[in-house]
Amino acid sequence: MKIRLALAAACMMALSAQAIANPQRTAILDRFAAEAKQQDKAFSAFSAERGKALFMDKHTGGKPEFPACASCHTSDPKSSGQTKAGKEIPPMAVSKTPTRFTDPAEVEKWFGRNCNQVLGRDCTASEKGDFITFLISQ
Amino acid sequence: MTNKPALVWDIEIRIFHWLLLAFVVGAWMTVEMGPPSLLGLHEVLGFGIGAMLIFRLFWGLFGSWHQRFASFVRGPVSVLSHLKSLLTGKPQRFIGHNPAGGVMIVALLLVLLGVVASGIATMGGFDKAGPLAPYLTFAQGRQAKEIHELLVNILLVLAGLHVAGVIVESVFLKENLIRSMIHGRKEAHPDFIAPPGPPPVARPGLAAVLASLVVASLGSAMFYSSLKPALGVPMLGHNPQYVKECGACHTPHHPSLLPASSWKLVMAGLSDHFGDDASLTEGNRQEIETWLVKATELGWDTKAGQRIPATLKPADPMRITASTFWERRHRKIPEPVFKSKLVGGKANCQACHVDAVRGGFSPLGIAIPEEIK
Repeated sequence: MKIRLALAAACMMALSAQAIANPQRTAILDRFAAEAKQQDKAFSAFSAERGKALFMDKHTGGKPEFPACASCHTSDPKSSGQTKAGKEIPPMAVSKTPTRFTDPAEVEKWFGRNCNQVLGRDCTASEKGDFITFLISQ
Repeated sequence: MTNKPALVWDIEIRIFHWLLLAFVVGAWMTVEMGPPSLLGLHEVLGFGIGAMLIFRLFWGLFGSWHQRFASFVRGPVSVLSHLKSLLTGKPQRFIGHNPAGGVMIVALLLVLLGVVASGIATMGGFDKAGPLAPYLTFAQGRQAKEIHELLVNILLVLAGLHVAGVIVESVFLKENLIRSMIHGRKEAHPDFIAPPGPPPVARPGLAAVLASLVVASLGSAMFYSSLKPALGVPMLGHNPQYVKECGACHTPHHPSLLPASSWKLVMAGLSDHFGDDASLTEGNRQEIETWLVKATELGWDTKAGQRIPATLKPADPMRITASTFWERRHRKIPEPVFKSKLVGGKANCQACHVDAVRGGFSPLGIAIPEEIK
């Protein structure tokens, strides 16, 4: 019984570890890290803290209806959001939506659209990396 | 002066009479008072009325004597002479229908037959459902709807005259004719005017068999016909790219809802898509635009596909919800419903229309979600 439980726990851990350390996601983060280093010599590592601030904070510069990521995604990354048109948005947290940040084209598309909406500009590579790092931690 | 009451209205005709009344009232109420989804019940009641009319036709040929057309369908001379006898205060007394009543029965049955037929035609052309959907265009369905409504108004007038006639005769003859239609008997009188000829024997078995055969064969023919694809509703394959990209933020609106010119405008302005940045890679953008334009070219003879593109505001040619048709159809929906969490916005068609993605928008498929508290 104990052995079985331990085995199940090990499997679960392995699975969740795999979900977090997804190779495509790692590759995306590595690319952003390289870009960030290029943009700023002082860059050392991504920060979930900074990512959290980017996600939660109200910004100016973008469209007034969308002052924050939380405007659509809600301030809880683990819960579903809703688009302006009423469609449900699956949670941003990687623990809830394991496919998050695994498709480079999708990542580019949504950062491209939403940074423009919320910030009124493109996000920097370090901002993107921070954002993803925060949501992996959720 | 009264003698033993005679059975005039047999049990078949009494059941028919009151059931028909219930179905007609029910069918009228479902549309006048019910939500659009009750149209399904309206249609069921309508088919029921159709089946009852078929029975009545055979009962008019093989039923008991007073129910036969041959006994009560009279020429204009008898009708006029009967109406005159009412005016003189010495009404002619008939066992069954009086000549004016006979005319009313025929008129009611014919108008009802027309109501049912035009109703099925409306269902076919206007809603692209039922046995006539494979054969009727939307324009024909709209005409059928107007005829249906006109005939219903005529029916209401006739029903009013029918009731008035019953009351007038009841007063003149000092006999409650409404109760006669419940227990079936009328007081016998020596001065009764009996229908001509010896009364033939009722043949309920024959009438039942013939009516059932006609109802069954007509019913199954209509059932199989309603399985055929509707006229002007092409088969449209699912475009995964369209559903993925456009469906990420809103209902992937059916291509039939906008003309090709509007779709081209939409796809040219994605960086400011109704206030949102919905940019796509050029490859995706082109693929989706090509598909949308081709899909509109298939030709959509549906209600939404005909009415929305035709009533778009020239100043706002991309906004489905600004079309006159959309506005009129949603005018009774309170604003908070659109703002509620379960709907979220006017662009979320599928929140209430189960067949929105297919472009069907059947009245039967409307369900406004309610917040569970």
